[in-house]
Amino acid sequence: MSRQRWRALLEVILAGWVMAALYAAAASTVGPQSLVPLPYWMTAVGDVVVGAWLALLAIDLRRMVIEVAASSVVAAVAYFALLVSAATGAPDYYAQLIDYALVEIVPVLLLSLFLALIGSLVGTVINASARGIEL
Amino acid sequence: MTRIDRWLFGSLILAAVLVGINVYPGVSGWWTAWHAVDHFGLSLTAVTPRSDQTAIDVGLAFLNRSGVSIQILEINGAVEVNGHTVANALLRPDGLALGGNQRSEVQLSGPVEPIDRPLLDEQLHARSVVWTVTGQVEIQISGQSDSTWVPYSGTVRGG
Repeated sequence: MSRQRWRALLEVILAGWVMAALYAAAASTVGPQSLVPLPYWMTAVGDVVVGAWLALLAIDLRRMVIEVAASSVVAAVAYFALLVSAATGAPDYYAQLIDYALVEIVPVLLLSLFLALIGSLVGTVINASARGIEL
Repeated sequence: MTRIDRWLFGSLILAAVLVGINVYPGVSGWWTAWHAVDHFGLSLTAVTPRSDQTAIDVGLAFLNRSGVSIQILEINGAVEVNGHTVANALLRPDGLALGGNQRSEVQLSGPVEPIDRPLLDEQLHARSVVWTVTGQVEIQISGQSDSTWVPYSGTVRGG
């Protein structure tokens, strides 16, 4: 893999992790005990910022959309891993935790995809305006 | 990589680390809570009908084998004698908390409806009496906002 692809992969993983952790900090499961519990609107704003970030890093429109979509999938997988990690301490509840996490990751996937796509529009606007004034 | 690219990439890494630190206590708390639920045990100690057969008393022993405190919010149970349901017991103990590695006993009381009394009386005079109690306990782990229902079932012989 070329260096650029490695970088894109790293961007996707980092952005996905940020979105998963932002969602977790607002969720009723792990949110209340987080250092800074977030309200859901803060998670939404964070996801938009992450989308803008990806847009500014990717610049290319096609790469941007692929990266946003892939990072939403990473966010869902990371959130699933966060919830199911409890199964190592409670093997009797393994099946219950997996069922719960499978239900919980659906909004994570859809919200992070939707909000990061909005963010990528914002990022594109920022990029276009920055080029317009030749920064 | 341009200067802006490096700045963007660096702040993305920083954001990932910060949100990770932020959510870490929450994830470990989630783990601890499920560990505690997994290490919560209870057993049926006794089932005794009152002499006038208006109610049945059920003794339950709780054992918290985890290190964190557990609060018991609600206990319910259906009491069967030889397979016939005769009473439904419900208890909402006010502030019953079990510390780490602590044991506690509670007594539930299930009223027997007048219509079920002949059945209870008949079963009490049967050759063998087997009591079965099936129900759920609602517990809350200290520090967690959500509570969990733990199902239980037990059998006691004699009467």
